[in-house]
Amino acid sequence: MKKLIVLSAIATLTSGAVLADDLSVTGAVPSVCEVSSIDAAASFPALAKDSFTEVPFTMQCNDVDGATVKLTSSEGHLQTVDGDDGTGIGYTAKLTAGPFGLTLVADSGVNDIFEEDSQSGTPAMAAGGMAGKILLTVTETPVYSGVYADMLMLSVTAN
Amino acid sequence: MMKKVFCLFLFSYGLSAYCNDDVSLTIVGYIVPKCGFTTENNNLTLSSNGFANTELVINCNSPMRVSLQSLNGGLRHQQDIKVNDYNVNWSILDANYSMAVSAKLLKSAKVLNVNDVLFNSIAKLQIELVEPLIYAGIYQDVIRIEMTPTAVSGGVR
Repeated sequence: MKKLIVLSAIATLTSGAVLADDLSVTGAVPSVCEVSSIDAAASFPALAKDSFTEVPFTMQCNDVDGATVKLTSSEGHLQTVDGDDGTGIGYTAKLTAGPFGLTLVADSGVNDIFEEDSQSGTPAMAAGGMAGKILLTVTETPVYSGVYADMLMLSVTAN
Repeated sequence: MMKKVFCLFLFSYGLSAYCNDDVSLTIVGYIVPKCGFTTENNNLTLSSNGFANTELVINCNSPMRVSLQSLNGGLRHQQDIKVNDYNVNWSILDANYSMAVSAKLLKSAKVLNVNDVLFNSIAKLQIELVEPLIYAGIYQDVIRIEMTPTAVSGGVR
């Protein structure tokens, strides 16, 4: 006579516990909006109507929403150094840089007149080194002798 | 007649005293499969040259299936929908088990079957950007790692 005794030390028969965990991966890029490689001064040795000069520059703005480029004329024209605000000659400043394009007409003598252009972000703009230029053209014939000057400010602001 | 019946009973009793009695014991033990891992760093920050890496210590008393999945399929800009791809290199036991895949493809979980039983084994996770991050801001992704024991009959497959 045989006896069969089965002893089982069985815990729960599960299909195995799943272990899961999350790893966070993060990268950060600092904000940069700047104009570089630009001459601080542009001059017209012989000031005359239709005379022109170009001012090259490079710019970068890595905001994902793009940037706004702004040209501001401090005097609103090329003003005589020894004259008043009403004495000066007009000029235009045409800016081109990648998707940006604007023309500031400075012939009124009104202080702080400006033009601006806003564009969406592009890889070229964000990466830096985007070439641009400002074409300065005299639009009036000077009458009085002397020195004429203006302060033209180029600014780049993240959107 | 009464005497005969009594004799038969004695005979039967005597025969029983000389029989063998075999007893078989089948003993079954069961250890619950259990997998776990620890990371030296759960928050990976990409260096300026676009690399990040970490090590995981794996303890699993069973062969297992390891799956990796990327939440965003790349590094997602927090203020935009832009997603930057990166490469993931994943190796266990000095690359006996390894996987190289882009985060874009990890949007769907990728599985690696490990036939060894790993105790205190090191897994290396390396991340490398495909292209530089150019837009300002914070980029983020989450990699989910799952380890499932596969030794149990009828286990998770």
